[in-house]
Amino acid sequence: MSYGVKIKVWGDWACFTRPEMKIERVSYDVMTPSAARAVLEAIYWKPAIKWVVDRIHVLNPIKFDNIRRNEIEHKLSSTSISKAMKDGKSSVSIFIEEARQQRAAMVLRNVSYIIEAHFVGSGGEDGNNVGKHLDIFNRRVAKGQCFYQPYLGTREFSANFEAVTEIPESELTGERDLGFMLFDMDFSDSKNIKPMFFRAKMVDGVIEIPAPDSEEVFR
Amino acid sequence: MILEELAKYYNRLLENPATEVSEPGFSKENISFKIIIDKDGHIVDSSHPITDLRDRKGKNLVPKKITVPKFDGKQTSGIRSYFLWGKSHYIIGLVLNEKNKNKPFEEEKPKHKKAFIDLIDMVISRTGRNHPVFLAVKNFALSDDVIPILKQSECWKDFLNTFVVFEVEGYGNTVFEQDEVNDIWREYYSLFTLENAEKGLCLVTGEEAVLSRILPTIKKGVGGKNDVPLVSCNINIGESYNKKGNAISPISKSAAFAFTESLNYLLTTDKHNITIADTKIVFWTEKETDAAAIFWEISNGGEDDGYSSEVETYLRSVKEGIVPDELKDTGKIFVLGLAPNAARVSIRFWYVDTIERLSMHIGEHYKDLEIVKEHRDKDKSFPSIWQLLIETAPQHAKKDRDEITKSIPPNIIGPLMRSVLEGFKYPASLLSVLINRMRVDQGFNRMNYYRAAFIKAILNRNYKKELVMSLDRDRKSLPYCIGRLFAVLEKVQEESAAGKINATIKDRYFSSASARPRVVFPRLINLSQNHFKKLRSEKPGLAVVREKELTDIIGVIPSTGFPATLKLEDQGEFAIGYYHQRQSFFEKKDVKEND
Repeated sequence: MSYGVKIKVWGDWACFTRPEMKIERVSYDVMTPSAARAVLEAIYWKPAIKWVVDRIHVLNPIKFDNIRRNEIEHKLSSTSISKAMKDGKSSVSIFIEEARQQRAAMVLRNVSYIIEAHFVGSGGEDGNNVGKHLDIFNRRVAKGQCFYQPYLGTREFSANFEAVTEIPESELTGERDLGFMLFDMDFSDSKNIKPMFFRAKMVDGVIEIPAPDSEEVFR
Repeated sequence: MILEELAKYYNRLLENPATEVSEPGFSKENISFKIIIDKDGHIVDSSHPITDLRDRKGKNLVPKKITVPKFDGKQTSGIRSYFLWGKSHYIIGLVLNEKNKNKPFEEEKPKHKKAFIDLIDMVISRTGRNHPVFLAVKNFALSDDVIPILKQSECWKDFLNTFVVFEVEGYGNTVFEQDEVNDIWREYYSLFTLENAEKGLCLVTGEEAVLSRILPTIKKGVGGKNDVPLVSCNINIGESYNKKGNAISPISKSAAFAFTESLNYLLTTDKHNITIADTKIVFWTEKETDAAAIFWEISNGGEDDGYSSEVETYLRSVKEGIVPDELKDTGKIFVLGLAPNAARVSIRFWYVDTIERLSMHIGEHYKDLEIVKEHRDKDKSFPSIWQLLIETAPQHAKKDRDEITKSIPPNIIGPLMRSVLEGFKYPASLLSVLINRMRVDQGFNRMNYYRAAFIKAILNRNYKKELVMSLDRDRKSLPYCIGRLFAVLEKVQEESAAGKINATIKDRYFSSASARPRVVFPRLINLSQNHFKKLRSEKPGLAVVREKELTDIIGVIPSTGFPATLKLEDQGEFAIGYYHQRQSFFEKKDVKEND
């Protein structure tokens, strides 16, 4: 059995990065299902439940902006960390002066979405008590409670959220083909995590998200 | 979506016999030299062993573009030979080592030469096919006495470190004119591709296909000086879920080749690309239309180039909000802006919409820009985007187009293009850049037609100031009237000195008057009293006219006096008020002279 929730999420900036343009980031036009799932999980999640996104409503017109940021160019290697752990005195550091990279990003501005989703039990007793999880979730949304601040694609772009009862009409009209979008990552095999894609179509600002096991999702 | 549309465009280009794009496994490269050998690999003409293929274009020697077999990806610092062509490292195993610029020396590269010969052997053995030219080239490469003969040539110095092809006597101008040679390579290429194949889901086509690990590169300086791929992950901060390099974005070999080729085509074909400062903008349409060419002219036109008549009629009709019939229902237009960034290509903007909606937005842009002209014959009714952009650049006086473009502030081009294409507000920083230019520039460049049009467009679209095309005497807004006042005062000064002044109050006081009117204007009005006195004695009629104008404008100033400072958008209005009033003087003059 599954129960549905609706929340409104909005923010000044968002970047749902396309996997093929990861270094010089380019955002997708709209929120990806995996980003929607991340917002829901930030508010409430337990290993007993699994969020499944049904629909994303795009309320604001799609506007891009270009920003450039100085970032570091590499991650700390695991060998340097294990070395420090062993001898207790090696440095574990990256100095920006030696590792500076300027990265440009094409990000979204003034986004506002309504996420319609439901959760399913992921096996086990607790997952079957849907009423309980639903109540907890709605209470948390009403209070503005979350485990960590939900974000729109990347952590630096924080999201605001609130409960919504009636879904307003979007400013966008007409049908728009958004091309292949990242659906989510397939974590079933933890040694080989694979991306899943689907063909996204937005009709009057509403994107129907296919079920993860449907044939519209390509692996 | 970007890659998908580029790949679709490639398929259209491939089907169109008029356009020349390469197929997978081949590429158009810049070749400078050719060596002519006979069937046994001996150099045919020992006195002129190296033939120069370059054309002289002005000061430069331009290499010839020849379609040659090529693997995907760059020829990196590793050893990877090309088939029957390449640089001198591979062909003769010699390279010019220029690490010490004062003492370049010739370095032997036996491994590279071996790779060159090995590749020929491998093609023969894998495909089981052979061709006489293979033996000829192989013998040439194997023989030791070619180098002294080649050294005799006058092109020797240039020959080292550049691309070379072969011609075998009796087999065409280059070996690649032989269909069979190309066919053998095609077979080897597909065998080679399948062999090192990793199959997976391609995110461009959505199909299972052979994935590419190294992506083909884009030319024409999009990635800076070198050729770089469009999609690249060259720093490890981009890795996630343990996927390294290009595994983070699975793309099939055929899709990668398709979108790279179409992008290369767009970048090298006239009327499909514009370069403004470091940003390269390419555009193409879903179906065959003139829209791309029209768009090219609108973005690129310089002062001396007029628009073609189709573009003029197009612009005139879209300004009124009407899309010409031949462009209705013609599908979409795609605009992509690219710029280099640290050996990668960064996407500045991506715009896709129907040609009709694009035309509507362009029309709105030109409607916002409408303003009275300064030079009736020279100024264009529809300034091109480039003409607007250079108003933000300091190097205005330089005539060289590239020099001026280099000094356009970098983060303006992308946002401006987007505002014009999408009908959104102009970028916020634009007004401050223009006002700054206005304060600093001297002479006739300070407030010319294009700058005024641009400022007016920004004020109308971003700040809803509702400025009209020419002087609006009924407009009571304070900054506008102060600007008009300044123009009148300047005119009085000019007329009183019978036009013999070198520096009017405009040159000395314009920037301070727009920024701090309360301090400056009382002084200017004082100064003007002297000018009036002189004018009254010499041209009393004119003095009366000017005084009336002056009192009309001063009548709007409230009892609190001039404002102490003006906000940015008010400074813009000041500039427009000044410009409108000044142009109205010239209009009147024309009317008076006609009487």
